[in-house]
Amino acid sequence: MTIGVASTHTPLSSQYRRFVFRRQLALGAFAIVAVGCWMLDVSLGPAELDLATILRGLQDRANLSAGEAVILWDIRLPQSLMALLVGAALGLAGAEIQTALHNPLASPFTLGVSAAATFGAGLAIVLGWDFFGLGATYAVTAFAFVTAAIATVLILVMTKRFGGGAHTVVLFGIALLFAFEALVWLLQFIADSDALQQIVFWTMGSLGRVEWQHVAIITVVLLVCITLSARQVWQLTALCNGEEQARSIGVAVERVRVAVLLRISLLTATAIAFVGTIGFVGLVGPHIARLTLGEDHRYFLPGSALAGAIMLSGASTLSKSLVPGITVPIGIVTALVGVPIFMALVLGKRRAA
Amino acid sequence: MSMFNRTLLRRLQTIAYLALALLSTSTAADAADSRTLTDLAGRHVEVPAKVDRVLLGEGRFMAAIAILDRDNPIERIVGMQGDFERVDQHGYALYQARFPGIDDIARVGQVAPSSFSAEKAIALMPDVAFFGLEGHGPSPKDTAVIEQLERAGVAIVFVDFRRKPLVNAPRSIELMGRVLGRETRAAEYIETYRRELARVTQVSDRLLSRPSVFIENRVGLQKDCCATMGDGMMGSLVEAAGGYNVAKPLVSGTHGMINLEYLLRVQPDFYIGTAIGNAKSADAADGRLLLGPGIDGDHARTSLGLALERRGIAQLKAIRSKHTYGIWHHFYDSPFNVIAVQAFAKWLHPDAFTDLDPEATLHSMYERFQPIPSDGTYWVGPS
Repeated sequence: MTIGVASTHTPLSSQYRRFVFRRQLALGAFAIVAVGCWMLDVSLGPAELDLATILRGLQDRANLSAGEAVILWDIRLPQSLMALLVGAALGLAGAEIQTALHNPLASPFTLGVSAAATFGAGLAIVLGWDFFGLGATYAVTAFAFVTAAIATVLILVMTKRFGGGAHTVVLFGIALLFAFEALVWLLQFIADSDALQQIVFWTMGSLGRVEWQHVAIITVVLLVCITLSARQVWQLTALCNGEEQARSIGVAVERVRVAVLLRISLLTATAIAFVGTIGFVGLVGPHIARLTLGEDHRYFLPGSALAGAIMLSGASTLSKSLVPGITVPIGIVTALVGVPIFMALVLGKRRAA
Repeated sequence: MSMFNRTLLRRLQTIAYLALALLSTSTAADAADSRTLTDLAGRHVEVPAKVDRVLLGEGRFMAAIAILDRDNPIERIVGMQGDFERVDQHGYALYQARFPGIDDIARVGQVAPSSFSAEKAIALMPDVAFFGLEGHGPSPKDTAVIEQLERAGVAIVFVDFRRKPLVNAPRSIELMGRVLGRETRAAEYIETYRRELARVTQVSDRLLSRPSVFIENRVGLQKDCCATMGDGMMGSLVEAAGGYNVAKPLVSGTHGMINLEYLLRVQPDFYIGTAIGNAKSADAADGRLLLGPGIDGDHARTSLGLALERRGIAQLKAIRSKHTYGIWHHFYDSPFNVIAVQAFAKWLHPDAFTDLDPEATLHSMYERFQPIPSDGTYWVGPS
């Protein structure tokens, strides 16, 4: 009975339209959840400002007392935006590196890039260098970027030798992670008690020191990296089917890899310089996006960024509401809450398969 | 000198200090609603003339506040860091017994400086916040926190009892006295403090021999050896008492670790351990020295004996020469650190300080400047 068969077949173009529409819908849902998390984050805190006060204050700073204005405009707004931006930066970095190395275990953290950046930040603190008079903020960021870039160059060299998919690269990354962690401990060991406090902050992860200037810097970095990723979106999608496949359709694999590694150094270093080490987001954000959106990078990249943003913004909200009056360091919450969600997703996928 | 004359002299000194204090603030008195002071981080701070709401960046500043607001030290405190009740449980309990309201003071964090919540601090609307140059709360390096609080109208005043304890303790009390409008009380304390310190330094500065001392920091807290203090904290107190701190050239900053083998090779003349064990958490089995309020001499001696039996420490020659002591840990961060200096002086140079009575100094200073009793054992020697 071939007559009925033709009628049940939908043409390819409408299948494709449905594919695009579903993913756009999912991305829209991600964005709405992210904005919801951010609103919740702004409304919560030990000062217990009520919603009316917050709305009045958002309209005009002058509507608030000096103290309320600082709490809303100088503490909560920059910190809550930072949670979104850092989450997005780490999610995006993780997604790109997993694709570039064709390895689901790759992330800025597991490859040692985070630890390298932390070491750079710590070095800037211990040396007390003020970056040609630009100030400690830029010195710490610059140092973090240089050391992160050194780590990625090393990874790149390894990838050239052994290919991206090999376990060798991830093992090498983990070796780097331990090496840089040891260097951070060495810094802690030689630092005086004062600098030590500053370095401990970097190893824990915290939104507590965020200023508007930091928000501005990471926004610029994120926009630049998103623009550059967008131009390679198809090449990255091609890479999902493996290096050989991508080469055969004319993708310059090496060039894409170099570009990706530079981008993730920049994203990771900027994130770390302002909020310290937050490890889990770069690994899990992309997996959540892959499970819900698939591997078409037009959706996978923004999806990973949004998943990261939701994770960190949600963690920030929880860190303020878990124990009344106490802010639990965000790095702790990210891992403790993220792990069960991640496991549920992975196991759920397994069962469905 | 007769007793009467000494009292008269003290009164005259107090009046002189008061006159000085008045002179120094007379310029600020022109601007009736605020004064500009220089704090111990060298910052110029504008402080309101009337200070009713105070925030403590370190809970243990309560002892300093109590010197100035002796009748009700908690009256003006709207918020404090949570270190006091966590690291000096029994000291806190004494304040709690006398001023139950201390429990109701809002906490702006726990023990770590990173736990300090700027949002919570601002919400409490303090006029002034006292922060330390280093320690358990925000330091001058926490520029973001400082800027946020200042923008919210909080005057931030840095004090210090740890980094340069003997120089900065009286300066801190003087500064706090001016902020809180308690210049007279501050002057009385400073006069006593300087006199008691001079009784040691006048002699120790001229002593030719400087026995070497190893300070073990927070005995029993960590099982690895050897946590110690360097330049500052108890290190400064030992040096003022005429000792040489063996860890000073090795440790960067106020505290750190030195190698046990090095210690055994150096063989310091004296061992002094700091005691963090107290009557509230009395458990000599965990290897802590027991000292402070509510501890009797026997318990203190037993805990010192146990601490000296540890591998490595037991091999110190100072044990054989009976030069082993324990000191209450919290003197390192206290306006009463001069009492520890006197105790050290008597141990290191017994012949030079025969007329010194640290026990009497402890009781008289607490009686005059603290709302809590001074009974207990604050230091212990070899049995």
